[in-house]
Amino acid sequence: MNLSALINIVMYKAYAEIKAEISRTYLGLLWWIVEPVLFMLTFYYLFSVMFDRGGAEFVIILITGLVIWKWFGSSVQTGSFSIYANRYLIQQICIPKIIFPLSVVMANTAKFCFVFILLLGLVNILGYAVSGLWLYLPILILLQFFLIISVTLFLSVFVSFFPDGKYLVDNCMMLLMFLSGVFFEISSLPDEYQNVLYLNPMAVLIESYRSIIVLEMAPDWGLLLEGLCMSILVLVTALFLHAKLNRVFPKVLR
Amino acid sequence: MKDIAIKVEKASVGYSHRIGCKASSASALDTITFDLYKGETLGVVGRNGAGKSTLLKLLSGIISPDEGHVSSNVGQVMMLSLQAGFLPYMTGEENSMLNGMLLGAERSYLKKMMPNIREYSGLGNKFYEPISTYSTGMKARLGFSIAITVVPDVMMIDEVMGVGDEDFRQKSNLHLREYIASNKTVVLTSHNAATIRQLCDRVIWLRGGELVEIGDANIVIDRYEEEYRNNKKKSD
Repeated sequence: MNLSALINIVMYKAYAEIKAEISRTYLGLLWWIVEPVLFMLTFYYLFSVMFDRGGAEFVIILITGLVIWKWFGSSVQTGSFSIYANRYLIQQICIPKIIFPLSVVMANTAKFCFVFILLLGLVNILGYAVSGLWLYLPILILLQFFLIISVTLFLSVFVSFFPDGKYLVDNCMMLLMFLSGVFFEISSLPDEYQNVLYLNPMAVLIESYRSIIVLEMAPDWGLLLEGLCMSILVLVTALFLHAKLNRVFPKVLR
Repeated sequence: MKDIAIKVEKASVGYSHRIGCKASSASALDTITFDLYKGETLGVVGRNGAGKSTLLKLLSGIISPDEGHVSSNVGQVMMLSLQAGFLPYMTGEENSMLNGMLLGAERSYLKKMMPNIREYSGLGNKFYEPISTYSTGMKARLGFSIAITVVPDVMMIDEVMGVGDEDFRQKSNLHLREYIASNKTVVLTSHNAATIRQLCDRVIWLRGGELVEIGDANIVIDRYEEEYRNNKKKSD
């Protein structure tokens, strides 16, 4: 299968996935907004009562963290399980299995772009001015997209060959969400904790988005570059495994 | 000398089964060697579990052999699979596009063929409704109409059967038989020896994952039926 045919299928399947989500529920598209807002309200209430935090800035910090995490979390969790979910289909048709995780990532990316634009609107309404630094946002989005693809493709192999993988992935994602600083700023922690937490590229990305939107400061390019190197390494490994194992998946998943 | 479409050399396939931590493996195909020629119709016979489906999957490139080689000299090899990847909330038209692309057809080609698919399926305006509103027969008709639109270099058919209601079953059965009888390369399995005799040039006979015999359809089928009768006598 050539590259353009592959892209065509991935895009069409992503479109199908979005259509499914919209047509399966009454609220459809609205859920994409309702979900992070509900999450945000819960945590905002919790933190404002327990830790005496509040104000517009904290709203922005929470919701940026949640929206950015959601893109990563949903893509990785659904995408890593997607080959297994299509185990009957791959018995009948010879296709690159990479199609399944990729289309999940593309569907989630479309959703994210939609919600992210709304988020920027909200930020603006709450009084944070658009600055020249916002021009860096597409770079962050691209870096995160790259990270999501590499992790999802890698885990899609792992989950297919190791049946307990899904539980492992689900639990690790939960843990990782708390470690990525979705609900707090890592930069406010002591240095020794920061150094460890910044090993996680998602933590770096979330901080970078916030530093542009809230603090109006350029992100730490060094840390972002480290994340990019990790993504490349994982992606190369994942592509190698997919190429090597494409015709082995149907034998294992029955 | 005939042109070789697919060459199978000492190919073995095993499946592993696992319950909890205990794993075991079973052989589905055991050192199979033969050539599939361009333009021929090859039948595959054998009892249940003889490895027929595994052989078809191996030839269509869905799985790779654990040992040995399968090399193909042709472009697209397709297993005739109906309704693969159908999504209930998508319309007949959208499912045709998705299913067609999964089967290996180009997007532009499918766009061009869309009126033909609609026409052949006989679905009328139902074609533009979600297939969750279709009856089983209607889905089968749509599936068949898409599959015959994609023209592969080699087609694998697991059991030649018409689908849908009586009219469509006759139409689709006839279509398949005409396709097989034409100068296309086809590999097919069937439980019906008469069908194999009628449609195939050569037959490959499998027993417990091993190749028993390959050769002229009538000769192999005669031996296969003879063994079947003998086994039946023994068990009586």
